[in-house]
Amino acid sequence: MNAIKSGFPMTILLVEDNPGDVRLIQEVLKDGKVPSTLVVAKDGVEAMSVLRGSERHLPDLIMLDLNLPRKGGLDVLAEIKKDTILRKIPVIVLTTSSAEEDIVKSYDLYANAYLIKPVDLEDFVRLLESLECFWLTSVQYPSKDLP
Amino acid sequence: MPQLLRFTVMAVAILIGSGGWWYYTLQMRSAQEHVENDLDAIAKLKMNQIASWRNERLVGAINIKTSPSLRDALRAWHKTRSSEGRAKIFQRLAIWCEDFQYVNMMFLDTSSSVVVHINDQTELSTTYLVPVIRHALTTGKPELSDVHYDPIWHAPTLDLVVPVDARKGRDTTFFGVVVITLDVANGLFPLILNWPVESKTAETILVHRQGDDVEYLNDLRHQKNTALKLHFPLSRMELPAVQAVCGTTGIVHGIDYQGQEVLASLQAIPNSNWFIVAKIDLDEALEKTKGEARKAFVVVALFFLAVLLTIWLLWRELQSRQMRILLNTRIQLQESEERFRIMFQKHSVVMLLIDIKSGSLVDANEAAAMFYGYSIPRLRTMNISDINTLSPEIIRQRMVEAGQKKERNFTFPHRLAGGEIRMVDVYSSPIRVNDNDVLVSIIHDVTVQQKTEEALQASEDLFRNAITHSGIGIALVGPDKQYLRINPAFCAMVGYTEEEILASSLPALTHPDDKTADEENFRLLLAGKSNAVDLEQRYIHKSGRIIHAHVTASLVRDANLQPKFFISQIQDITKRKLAEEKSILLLERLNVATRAARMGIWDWDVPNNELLWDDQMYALYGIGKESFGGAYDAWLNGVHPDDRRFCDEAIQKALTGEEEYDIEFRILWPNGSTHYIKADGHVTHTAEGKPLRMTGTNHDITERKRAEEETRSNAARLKRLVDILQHHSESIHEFLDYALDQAIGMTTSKIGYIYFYSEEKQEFVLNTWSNEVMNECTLVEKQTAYTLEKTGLWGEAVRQRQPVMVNDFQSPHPLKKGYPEGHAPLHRFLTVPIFSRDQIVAVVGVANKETDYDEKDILQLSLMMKAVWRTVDRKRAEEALKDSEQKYRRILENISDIYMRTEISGIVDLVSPSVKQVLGYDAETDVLGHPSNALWAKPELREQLLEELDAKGRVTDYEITFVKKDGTLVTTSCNVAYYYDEQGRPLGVEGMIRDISERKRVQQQLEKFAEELERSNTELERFAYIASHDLQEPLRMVSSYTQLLARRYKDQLDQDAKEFIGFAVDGAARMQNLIKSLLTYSRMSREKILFEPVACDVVIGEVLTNLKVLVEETHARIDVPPLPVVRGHHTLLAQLFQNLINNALKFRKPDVAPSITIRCESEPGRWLFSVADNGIGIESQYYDRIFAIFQRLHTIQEYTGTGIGLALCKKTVERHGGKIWLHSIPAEGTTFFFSIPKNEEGE
Repeated sequence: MNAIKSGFPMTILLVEDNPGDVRLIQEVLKDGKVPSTLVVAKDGVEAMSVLRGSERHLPDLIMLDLNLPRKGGLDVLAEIKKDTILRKIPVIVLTTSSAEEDIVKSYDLYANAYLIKPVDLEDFVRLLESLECFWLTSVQYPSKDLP
Repeated sequence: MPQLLRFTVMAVAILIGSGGWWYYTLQMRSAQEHVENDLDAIAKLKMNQIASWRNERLVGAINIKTSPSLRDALRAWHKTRSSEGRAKIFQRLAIWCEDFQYVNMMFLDTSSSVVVHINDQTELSTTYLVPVIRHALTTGKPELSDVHYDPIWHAPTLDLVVPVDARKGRDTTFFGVVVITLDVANGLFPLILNWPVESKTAETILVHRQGDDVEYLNDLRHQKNTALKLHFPLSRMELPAVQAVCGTTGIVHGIDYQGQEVLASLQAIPNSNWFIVAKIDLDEALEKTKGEARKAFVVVALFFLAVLLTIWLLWRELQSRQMRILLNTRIQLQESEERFRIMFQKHSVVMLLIDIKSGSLVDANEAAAMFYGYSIPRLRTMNISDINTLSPEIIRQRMVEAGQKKERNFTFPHRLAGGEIRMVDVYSSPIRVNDNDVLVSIIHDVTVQQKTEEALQASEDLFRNAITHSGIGIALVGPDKQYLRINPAFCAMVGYTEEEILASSLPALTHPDDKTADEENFRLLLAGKSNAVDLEQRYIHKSGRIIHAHVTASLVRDANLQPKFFISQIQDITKRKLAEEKSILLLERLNVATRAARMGIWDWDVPNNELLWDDQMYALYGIGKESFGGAYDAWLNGVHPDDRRFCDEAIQKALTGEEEYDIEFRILWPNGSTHYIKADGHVTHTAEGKPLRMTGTNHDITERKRAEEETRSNAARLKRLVDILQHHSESIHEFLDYALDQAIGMTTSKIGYIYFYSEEKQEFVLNTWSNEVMNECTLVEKQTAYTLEKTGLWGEAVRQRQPVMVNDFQSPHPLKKGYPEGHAPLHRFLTVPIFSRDQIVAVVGVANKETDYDEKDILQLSLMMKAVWRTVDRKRAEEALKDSEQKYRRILENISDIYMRTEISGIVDLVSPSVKQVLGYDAETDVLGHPSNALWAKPELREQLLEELDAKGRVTDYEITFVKKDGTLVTTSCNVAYYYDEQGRPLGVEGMIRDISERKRVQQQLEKFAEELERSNTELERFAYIASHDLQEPLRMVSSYTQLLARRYKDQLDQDAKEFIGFAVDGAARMQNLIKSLLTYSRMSREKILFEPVACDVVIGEVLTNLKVLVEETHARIDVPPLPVVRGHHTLLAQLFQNLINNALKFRKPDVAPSITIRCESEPGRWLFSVADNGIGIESQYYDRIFAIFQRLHTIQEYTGTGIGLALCKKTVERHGGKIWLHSIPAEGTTFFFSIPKNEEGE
């Protein structure tokens, strides 16, 4: 079901420990064209508790940082992709790391995309806009009502 | 020529002629039809064209008729008939006339008077138009006039008459007519004149009837200015034009206006009085066919003539051949007649031709004339009875017999001219000549033959008597070996009667053992190989005893040389034979005896000096009978020169009776060998006491003598050998010196030498010359080494590989090269090669023996030197052993490792002194005699070592820890093996012990370093990860929020603030670039690179694609040659090239388009690449700096970049195992060089 067509705003779970980044993403999404609700988890444990908390409030999209306190991004990714329900939610790794090993590991764990945070704000804005454009408008998701 | 042939030729000619004519007419008709068809088609075409031209004109006239403007003008004129009306009409008509280029236009009223006239002419006559106008006004339709000559226009014209009416409702009142004058010369005639195909004579004519004439409307092709001028009366029916106007259509023959015979097609033009005539000259129409016919006629006529000529020539040839044959036959007949006539006349046989009836001689030949003594003409007048002495009756009777062919051969007595009567054989045969029967008689004189037969009979009688009364046996034997005749003497010899012998054959009487020889003799005689044989043969007497006979046999042949019989004379020699046999037997026995004793017997007739030898003597002296002179001197010559005097004396003494002859002496065989003879003899004297004969024996005692001598020589040699071997010598040299002295002594030589010889080098090296030589030789510089090829005679011992002996050294010798001035003089010379294991190792030479050297010397010298050499070999081995022992001892004393040897029991029996330096023990007191493992830290490990040794045969790099004398431990590495005696039994264990405690320590240190390096690398990886993530995080915050600030508070910030923010953002971005570069650089150092074949062409292609934009922007020219495939990492090499090319583009001179040249040279072991540019260049003091990481030569403002590119390049090249460097001239350009190894694995 498409977000815009359904009339409801899209829910995005952002797993990010850096409040600066959280704020930045919030700011960008606020200016974005697609109405969306941003749920933030500050580490892996919190992210899992959000996801496991209530099936009714599952996000449409997960943006995941890799370098997280308590439970690392890759662990979170692994757990999500093991779960038959959660694995349907697309997970976009959004991180500063450009290390080849991180990229390979993420895709090995079935990440849906791997994005590197640009230093330049303009680039960052463009990245998020294109992310919005694709994941929030073009992509078709399974219906939430019929799990 | 025969009638038939003539007739045939004529018939063929007629046939060809008529056939040709028939074919010709056929062709002509067909050609004419073809032309007619063409003409017809053309005429019809013209007709249609003209008809349609007329129609077009008439239809076009409707436009005028219905023209409203004309009608208006007409109506206006009709009402007022004013000049304005006329002017209007004129105006109208003038426009048309102009537009359509009519010759003229007029308007005539119904009374045919001209109202308006475009070309206003006063003398215009319209009378010829009146009938046409009337007709047009009646029908109300446009009408065409006939062609007429226009006097104004001076050309044939045609008028189109168009009635014009008022056309008001039903009122069709005609105002008059409009007359349009058309120019037919340009409009109509071209249609007529053109002809669709090329033709010389063809033309089309348009005619019409003008009264009783036919008038030609158009200008003709062959006659100008004829239009409307040429007329012919209708009576000239031959003209096709006349026929046309008379109503004939289709094809006609006729004569045209020029008088030519023509073919024409006639057609009438519909709705007119015109006729079209399309014609062509008959000549032209049929020209082609006629031409072909002419050609065909010529060809056929020529062919026919050629055939006629050929037949005539053949006929002539046939006739002349028959004439020749006839002539030849006649000549041959004449020749034959001549031949037979000459044959008769000149033949040497007497021939007569006799008339049978009269007996007269018809003819006789020259032989007859000679025989009978009459001339031929005389004989021709004679009768046979004049010659034949028989009675004429008998003669006639005989002739009749001959004539009837009853009898041919007769014998008649014929009388010659001189009266002598000869008996003749006559052969007569009758022939018929010119109806007369004639006898041809050939006469043969037989008188002489009869006389010979009588003489033969007398001879036969004489012969028979001779045989019968001969004292010795005579036998005549046929070629079939049957006795033909024998005499009584032979019968008496064998004891048979004549009858008995004649009944038997030869082999029966012959002794069986002699039959083969007998047969052989028969064969010889029969084959003519011999005339007579002389043999001894045995016969068997009737009583059975054997008769020895001497037989002389010869073969008698008849006149034809065929064998007739053998004649044998047989003499009984039985008695003599038996005596001979007895004496031979005795002699043979003597021979056996003397041969067995190798004894020869001789007999010397002293007064006559005749010396007789038996066979054995010759054998003893080695000569043949033929080469022995048979006198005393001949014997003395065979004696050895040294013994001759002595032998001669002994013989003289024997002859005088002074001494018995019993001596031993040497003889010399022709082959040069010497033999010993023992001789004795006895002298018989005459009564007066003079020696008469001397008889004696010679006996070969060589064997015995040799044996004695050899025994003596061997004893001497052995004595000397013992001397030599017992001689104490310090060195081989000295030993050989002594041996040489002994060799010289043994061979009773004066001087000698020994040279060593090397087969490998083909070189002689002197051991020694004898002292004597040294004294005699006055050479200033004595050469002691020679190559084989430079040696003279003395080298022959090597070249021939056998002893060489020369006893007359001063005489010339082919092998001698001469010795140098001052060399000891040589007289006799012997040299012997010395072999050791089939190799020549030395040569010994001796010289100047008092007497000649001989085989004995060679043998003794060879044997002695062989023995000597065995000793030399042994001595050498000893010396080598001593040498080797010394060598090993020196090694043992000087090595830094420890050499240790133990007996099987493990007790040390040998140790190197180095044990003192390594372990601190004293070899003599602490180690020798002790168990080897007593020094070990763990002595019990020896068992383990021995087990391993037994399993592997030898143990290498075995670690044993020793306890040093000061108590500290030393780790050693040992190589241990058994050592064996000559029979392969183990004697003990030996080993090398090396102190490796230092090596051990270094190794441990290395391991520690490696471990540290590992840890360091791990840490570095960790750092890199942190750098890539954690270090960038705050950077991003700085950058992003500064930018956000600038964005959000754009309006509140002043220019300075914006600039500051710009610096902050830029700084952050650069920081991030630096971090990334650092990461790349460190990754390159750490990570393993997999090498594979990389095509540099592909790499460069990719790089240039990446740099495409930059290259285009800078207008760079990049020269890339074909590049090799190298072993490397694709991405890294791409990065390397990209960095270098990018640099070359980046550091270009302003305003100069970059030019980059890439090159690759193949060098031994490596590829040398170069990238050259024409950029700003680099000062040489910065060459090293630019390769260091983050080193820049320019500010960021001048040239952008992180300063890591070349550092990465350096790293890449080094990781590939190569080197990178550069050469640069500031302001001119830089060339970077780097090498990539060819086959190595890089890292």
